[in-house]
Amino acid sequence: MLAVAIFALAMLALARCVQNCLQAEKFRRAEGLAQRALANYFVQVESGAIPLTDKATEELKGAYAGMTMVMTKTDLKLTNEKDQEIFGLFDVNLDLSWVESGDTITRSMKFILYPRQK
Amino acid sequence: MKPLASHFRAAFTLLEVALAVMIIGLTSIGVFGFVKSTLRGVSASVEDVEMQLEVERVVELVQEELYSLPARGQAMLTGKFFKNGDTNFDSMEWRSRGGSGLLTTAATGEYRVQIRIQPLKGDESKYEIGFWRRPALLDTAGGLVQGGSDKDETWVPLIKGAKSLTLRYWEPRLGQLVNQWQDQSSRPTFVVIGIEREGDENPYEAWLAVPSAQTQQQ
Repeated sequence: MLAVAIFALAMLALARCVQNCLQAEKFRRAEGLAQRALANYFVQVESGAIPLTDKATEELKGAYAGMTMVMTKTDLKLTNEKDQEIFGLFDVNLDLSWVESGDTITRSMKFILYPRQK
Repeated sequence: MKPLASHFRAAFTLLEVALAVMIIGLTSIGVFGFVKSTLRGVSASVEDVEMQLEVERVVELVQEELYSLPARGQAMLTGKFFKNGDTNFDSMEWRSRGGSGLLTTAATGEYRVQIRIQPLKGDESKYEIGFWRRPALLDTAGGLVQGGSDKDETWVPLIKGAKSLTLRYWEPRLGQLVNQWQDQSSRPTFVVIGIEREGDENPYEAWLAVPSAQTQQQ
């Protein structure tokens, strides 16, 4: 009985190990996708393909299905060496979130943008 | 008459020994199976990471080339669109005088370089993505002159087991992505590259900026 119990416990522990390995693999894939989604979004915002608004939320599609991108923009209050205000610079935040095993995971990217004058 | 205690000897019965051996055997089989599946999993994971890195490296090469693309010059970047069924076999061409876009700095003259997908030699059912290079201008004592022919072309395979190559170009005047880029003098704001390999659920997609396009728009 004791031997069977030990055997069963060992099997449960091994199963847990396998489950953790699979979970780690899922996290690795999701992390790679998230980094790519942020980089792709950054290129679109920087080039003006995505219009800059105070706050925008987008449900991503395709390979990024299940991920939500929230873009927020705030005016940067900066002054030059003569204490004159510098206009037209924005602080842009990209927050990407998705749900993994019941937990919400978020990855962010922050950058300063000077929109091109058209 | 012998005493009763002498009949009891501290020993296992044959059934107990057989049961113990069976349990040990089962445990060993279980552990062996676990180790085997773990090793297989690690190997698959490493292979998957290597395949992803392979794609990322190619995308980085293209990105570096797009970063170094000059704002002036004719036909510095063109793109063709070809679709067979649901599969894209697009290609993009640039001019290079050496660097990551040519995969060597040891080059003289100017080359036409294409990223494209083509069938494997000897197995037309499988495809690979790579760089096709052909001399366009030859470096002579009198300067650069038109030259080179298709017999001087070289093919550098970079991604084996490819299924499709999709290239889209952001046309700033239209404010949308277009399938091909034929404008000889202007540059797209960015290029979307999609690489799909056999067995992939979704293609790898990257948005690559073209800084010289921003210079042109000013």
